[in-house]
Amino acid sequence: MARRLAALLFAAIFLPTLAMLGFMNFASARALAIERSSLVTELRDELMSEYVGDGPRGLTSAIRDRVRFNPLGEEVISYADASGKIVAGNLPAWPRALTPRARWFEIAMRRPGDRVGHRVLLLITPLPDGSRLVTGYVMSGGQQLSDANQWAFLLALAIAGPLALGLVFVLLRIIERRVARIAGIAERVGEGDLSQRVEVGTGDDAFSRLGRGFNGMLDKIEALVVELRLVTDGLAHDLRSPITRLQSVIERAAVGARDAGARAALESAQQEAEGLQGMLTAALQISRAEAGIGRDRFEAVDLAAVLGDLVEIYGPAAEDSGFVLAAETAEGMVLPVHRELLGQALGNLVENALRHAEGGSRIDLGVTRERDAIVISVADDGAGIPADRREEALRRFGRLDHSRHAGGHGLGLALVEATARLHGGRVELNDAHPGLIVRLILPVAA
Amino acid sequence: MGHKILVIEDDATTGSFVVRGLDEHGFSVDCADNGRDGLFLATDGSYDAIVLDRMLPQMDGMAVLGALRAASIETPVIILSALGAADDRVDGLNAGCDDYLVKPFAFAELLARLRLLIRKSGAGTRTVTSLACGDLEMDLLTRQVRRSGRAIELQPREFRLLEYLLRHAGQVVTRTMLLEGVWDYHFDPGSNVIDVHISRLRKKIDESFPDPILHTVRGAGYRLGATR
Repeated sequence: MARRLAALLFAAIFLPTLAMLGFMNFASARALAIERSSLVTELRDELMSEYVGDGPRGLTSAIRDRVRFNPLGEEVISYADASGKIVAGNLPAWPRALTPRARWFEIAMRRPGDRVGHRVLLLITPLPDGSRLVTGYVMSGGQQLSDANQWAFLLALAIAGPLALGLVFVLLRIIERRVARIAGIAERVGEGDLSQRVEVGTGDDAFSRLGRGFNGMLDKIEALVVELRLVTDGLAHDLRSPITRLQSVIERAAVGARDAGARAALESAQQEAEGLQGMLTAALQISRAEAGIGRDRFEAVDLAAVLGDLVEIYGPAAEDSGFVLAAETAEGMVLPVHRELLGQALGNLVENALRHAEGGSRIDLGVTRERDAIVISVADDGAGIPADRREEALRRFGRLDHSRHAGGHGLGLALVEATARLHGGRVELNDAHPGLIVRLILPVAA
Repeated sequence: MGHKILVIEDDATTGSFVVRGLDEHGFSVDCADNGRDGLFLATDGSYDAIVLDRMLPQMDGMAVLGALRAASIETPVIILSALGAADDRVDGLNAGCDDYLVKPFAFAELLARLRLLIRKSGAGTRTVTSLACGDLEMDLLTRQVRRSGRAIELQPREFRLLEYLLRHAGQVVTRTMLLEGVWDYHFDPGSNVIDVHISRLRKKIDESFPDPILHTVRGAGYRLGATR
């Protein structure tokens, strides 16, 4: 992209220069040509005045006088009588190419005694008595001048080229620096820091206008996010208070219940209320993580220690379900993370494995460094998820097990993905041969 | 004599549920349904603990807390909030509340945490080198556990779990309190994860002894205590 822009800028600067130089070259060549033809015409007019005054004889002697002392000068003269015989001049023969009628010619010729050939501009003037006069001028002197012109042209090009290149470089730097500033802000906003704004000068140039437009857009986005947070918090408040009341009613009823059947019913109602609460909490956490809320809570955490905690917390429960839960870690896996959320996300993955890895016997946690990311993985050796259904598994409330016998509210993996995104990373579901491996890829800031 | 509790809660149902529950458990309870009245009552400093809703009319719960702490009133405060995520919890704890409970909550959870707060504020902070409950003893320096003089081998996680229970001996400790106290995570770790830990610990400290010391409290959590 930068290369194309550079080429475009170079063309924009260099091509006009080239055109101007070319025009100047052309104009000076043209001025030269005009000057030459006027020399030729002058010579003709001078000789013609002899002819008018003294007739053919006067003209003949005037020509002889003219060429006697300098037969190889720049002037070319030839006078032929009506029969075509050359009477005077410094041309040995009538040039073959000349037809009687045409007036101006430019030909190459070599006079006797000339060391090199010349290009000559010739003018043929028919005289009233049928004789013809050729006057001309050797262009070699002019040729030198036009060679000099070409040299100047090339020299100008040699100067203008690097100059244009330098100018392109400077312009590119200016443009790139200003665009990079805006792009950098856009990136940080993309990561969720909505407080970023572009510095805008007072100018009215396109960059200032872009910056102002950009800032206006950010103001709007920030306002919307704040509103979203207010709405979700309000929703949480509005939904949770009724659930709290529901739970309190059930709790009180359970205390008073004497009948075993009623107590069992109340207990299952209590469990449903708890499930509802869990779902609401998870949905809110996902919304907030996706809005980038919580980055201010990042702290440097040793991920190996987090995996160790998980093995401790879930180990006994895993063992009771017939799984071996183990962590393979390395040293120095320290990353600024939202420890709470990450712990919960990984806990969700372990619970998913316990719940869904049918026929499996191992759950392996791992943390490794892969180029510029730290990858946390949770792998089981159960039935796995077919490749075409993995996308579905990540979706909110997306449950692959529609019989629902395996429990869970379908938000576990969605929270994992939201957590990954909060950290600027992503989630991958892969085949563990056999089983499922979920990889949490968290980029390491440079 | 019952402890004095102030409940500041605008939701009438939740408020009366909390007040009634605390009343039944022998606390004397005052109630305010907005932040300003709540702050007015709280400033006399005679309460043993305050239950404070975060979203209140007239004066926000966090503002009430801030005003109290600014006036050097150090009554323990437990915040009730519908703003669930862990972040708000950190905000609240930073602002000077002593505990944080997310709605909806089980009353047993509130009761357990409230009792813990009241006892903590009375006990002050002193460093101990050993803990005991009945005939169960724990030496924190040598990391040895004995019951009736018999040594019990515990894994590190079981040791920490028992240590937490011993530090809160006689009190009801909920599952989330255990996860917070032992591992410092505040999420709900799935249905039976903590139960499995407790049953393993129970096997080691209770199984071959005549009187159980680690009790399950129905619908609430666990309690370590020599007497039932």
